[in-house]
Amino acid sequence: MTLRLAAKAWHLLVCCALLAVGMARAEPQATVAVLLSETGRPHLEVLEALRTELGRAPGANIVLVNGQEPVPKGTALIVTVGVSATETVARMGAPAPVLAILIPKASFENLSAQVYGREHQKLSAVFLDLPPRRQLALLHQAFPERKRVALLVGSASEPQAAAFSAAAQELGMSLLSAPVHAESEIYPALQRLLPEADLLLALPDPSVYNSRTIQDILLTSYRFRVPLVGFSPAYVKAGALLALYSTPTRIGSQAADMARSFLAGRPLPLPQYARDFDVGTNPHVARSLGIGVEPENTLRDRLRQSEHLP
Amino acid sequence: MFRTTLRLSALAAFSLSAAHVHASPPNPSEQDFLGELPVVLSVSRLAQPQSEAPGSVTVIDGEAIRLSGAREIVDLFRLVPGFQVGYSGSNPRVYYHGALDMFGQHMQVLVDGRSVYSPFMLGGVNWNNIPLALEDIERIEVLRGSNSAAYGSDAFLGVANIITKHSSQTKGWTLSRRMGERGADDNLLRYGGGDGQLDYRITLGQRSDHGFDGIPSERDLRHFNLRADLRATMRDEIQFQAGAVDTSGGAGYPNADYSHNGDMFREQRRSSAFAQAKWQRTLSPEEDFHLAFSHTEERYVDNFLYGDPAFPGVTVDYGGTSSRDDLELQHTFSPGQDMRIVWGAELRRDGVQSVPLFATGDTLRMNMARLFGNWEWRLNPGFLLNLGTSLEHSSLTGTSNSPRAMLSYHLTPDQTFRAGISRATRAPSIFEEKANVGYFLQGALAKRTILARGNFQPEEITSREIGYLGNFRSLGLMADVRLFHENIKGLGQQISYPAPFALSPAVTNWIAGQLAALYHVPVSFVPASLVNATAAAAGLGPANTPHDFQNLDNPSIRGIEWQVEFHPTSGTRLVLNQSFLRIASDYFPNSTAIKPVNADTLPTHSTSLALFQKLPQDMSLSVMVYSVGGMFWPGQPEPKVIPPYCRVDVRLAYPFHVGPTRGEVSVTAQNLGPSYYETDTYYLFQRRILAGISMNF
Repeated sequence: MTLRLAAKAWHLLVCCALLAVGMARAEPQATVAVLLSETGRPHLEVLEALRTELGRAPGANIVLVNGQEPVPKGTALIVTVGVSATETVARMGAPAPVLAILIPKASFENLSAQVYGREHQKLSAVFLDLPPRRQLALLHQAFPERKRVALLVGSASEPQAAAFSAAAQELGMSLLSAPVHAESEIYPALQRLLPEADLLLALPDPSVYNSRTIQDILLTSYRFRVPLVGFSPAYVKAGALLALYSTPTRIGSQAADMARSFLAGRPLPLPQYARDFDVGTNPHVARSLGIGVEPENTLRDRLRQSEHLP
Repeated sequence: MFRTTLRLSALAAFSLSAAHVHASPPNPSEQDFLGELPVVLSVSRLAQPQSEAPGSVTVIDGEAIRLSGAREIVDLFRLVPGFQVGYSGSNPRVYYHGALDMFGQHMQVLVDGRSVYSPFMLGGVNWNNIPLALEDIERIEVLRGSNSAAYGSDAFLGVANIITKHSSQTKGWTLSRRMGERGADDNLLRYGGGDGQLDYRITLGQRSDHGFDGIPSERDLRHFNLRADLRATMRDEIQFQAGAVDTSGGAGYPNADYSHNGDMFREQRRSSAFAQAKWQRTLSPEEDFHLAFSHTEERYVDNFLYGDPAFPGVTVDYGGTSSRDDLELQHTFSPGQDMRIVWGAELRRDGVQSVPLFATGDTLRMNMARLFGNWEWRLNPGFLLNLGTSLEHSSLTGTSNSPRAMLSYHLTPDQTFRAGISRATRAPSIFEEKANVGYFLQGALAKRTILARGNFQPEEITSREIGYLGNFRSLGLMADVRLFHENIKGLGQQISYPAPFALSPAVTNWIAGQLAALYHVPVSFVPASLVNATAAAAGLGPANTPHDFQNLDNPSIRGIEWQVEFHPTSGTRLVLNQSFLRIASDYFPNSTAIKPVNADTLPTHSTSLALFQKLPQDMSLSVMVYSVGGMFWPGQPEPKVIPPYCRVDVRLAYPFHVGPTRGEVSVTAQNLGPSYYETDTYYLFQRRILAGISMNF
């Protein structure tokens, strides 16, 4: 407890210091207001990346705002870090163009569903999740013989299901999906899907995957010897065989690039997926299931090459 | 102006949608990606891959348990190379290596880490006394070969690890009933609930049947089991289990059979209860530790009037109670990428109490303390070395050490060769050290049948083995071969020795009275010499030769076992197990021991074949064939010939769904062919057809 308090105090201190640095700068031309959902480590990593990358842009001034008071006058761009920060800015009436980062695609689309239209250049995002095709391509490359991928689809992940289907078809994989409307439906759905599946791919949907359900899901998939593929390092630690994810730092620097381009007078780029990514593997689970898995960097580099990324 | 209006309306709409966000289903937040999750598949929960295990492992998973049509745990051992199933009255026994393990006391059996090896009598496992339903079992890992380095003494010939399902995996109501020939009636009622943080289940079960013809072997078991799993924090899990079982069953042998000394037909009652708590802390995917405590109690009610008509009114009693407390700590961690260490300590306190077996009302104790460790070192991608040992101190027999070294060589990730040597022990039970069983006439001691002198030392086994594990993925074929040579030193035998004592006048007068009644003469006419001769003929007093346990036999066994698992398609699973054994013993054949081990006391070969086939409409067909070679079963006055047999079981099941209810109806035929003897000629296994239904909602 004491440790946690100390960590919080430290985060606040870092924030204040960053804020002070931002304020102390000579008043230049463009102000970028940053609103954090919370002062957790990932959020601060994003802030740090923004500061480092954007700090190099001439005339950019980063100001940390708290969501309670109006953003400073003359703010050119608001960067919201996390879902609740994006919601707060929406409630404030979005006094400037908004770049939402550290936000899952489904949440962003729900939030902006009604404001897209003709003015979408005022709203953009870097999603936390990675494109369905990239996720399936990784599985295709890592386990060419495992072609049947199971999905549990809840209300939040439903809109993405079509994109996964299309990508699976393109890659010659087959997708087995089951709708899940309540947590009690997870286990029966797994029992139906897993006997026919080679992999279980987790989608970011708190109605299906959360810290309460993950135990049941992992134990069941392990019993059927069908490994789970997650979307964050925590999943790998919990017992997923593999995860494809982007880090807060990478997302922060991608956002900084977008902000720089905007500040240079170009329109705000379209909402986009994270450009860069990492692959995490769990060698213990792989070994226990008798599945050969290549090193994380090999998998990552091969996926990058297949996408012609530098 | 127009532009500004539009912009404002867009922003208003944006804010409107934001206001609605809270009413709709939860949006994923960044916490779903960045938040912490509990380590579920921690290093100690993950099954060790067979290619890295320091020995041969047969895994019977939940699917095989269901598809096999097994009614009880022992039935599943027919699917493990080298194992046989037999009976003693209504009590099933599992034998590895035939009659060498006549009382089934050379194998450790753990249920979620709790030993169900009984401290009562000769040790071994009372299979009827495990409060556990087959439906609650996740998998059984049978480690064939000595494993004392990891599991302590009692893991002499092997270990069966029974792992039950996590309570998050058994939600809702489950009802099942199976009925069939020979009075088979099995019932189960289970409810599981919880919210993912605290999950629990309660299982009630009942199983009964008439057993075998011509011998009391009917049984009726009732058991209850509770398991609760609490996810206390992201790192801490607390598991609690409790259960109880009450069994009544037939025992005894036909009276005319002198080999059993008037072991009369009767009903036995056996019951046991336990509670177990386990705290597991997972520090990282590579490191966890647990602390577990369990308490187990057993109670035996088993008495009858002695069968010999010459001694009317003499009661023989095998009753008593036992208790066990066990505390275990285990820590698993990786000091480097290529190393993994498991170490821990165990404290155990056994107590048995039985006036008829120990001639005392006191509770006799045995305390055990154990330190164990295994070091797994990946020397390079090819070689894996397992070094382990268990240092154990028993308050009855002192300290023993059980080391093991096993080197595995992965020719490719799918082709593994293994060679190793290990030493294991079996600590004598309290009974084997302190038994004092006698018959009383007129309240005075007439005869001691077992009088242990406390000289029995731990039995020792040194086993050498080489193994091969091949995984031919493209063919869907996996093969495991184990070639072994086991040298046993000081195997326990019951042997009689002279221990004369003077009969009290109460006894001699009683004998004189019996003789007088027999010959219709006054008591004073009965000469003392006739009384003495009668007493001597019955082995009483001065002629008394009780049994004791001695480390007499030094058998050695060579054998080969293999198991092949073949998945040609996703709907077909074929398992073939075979075992071939040869035993040599230096034991003298004309001994008075009751279980001489010789070349014929184990079946030289056994085979089991199981086919699990999926049929259209999700129906499933299982065919199991068990073929066991002939053997001699030790007994007095001479061993019995147990002929070879072949048993065929078939099961057909049809799943159904009605609304949210999922169920299955099944028909199982056990032993479709001719009847056969289940290890002893008293137990003729005739065909049994069973029909079952199960529902889950």
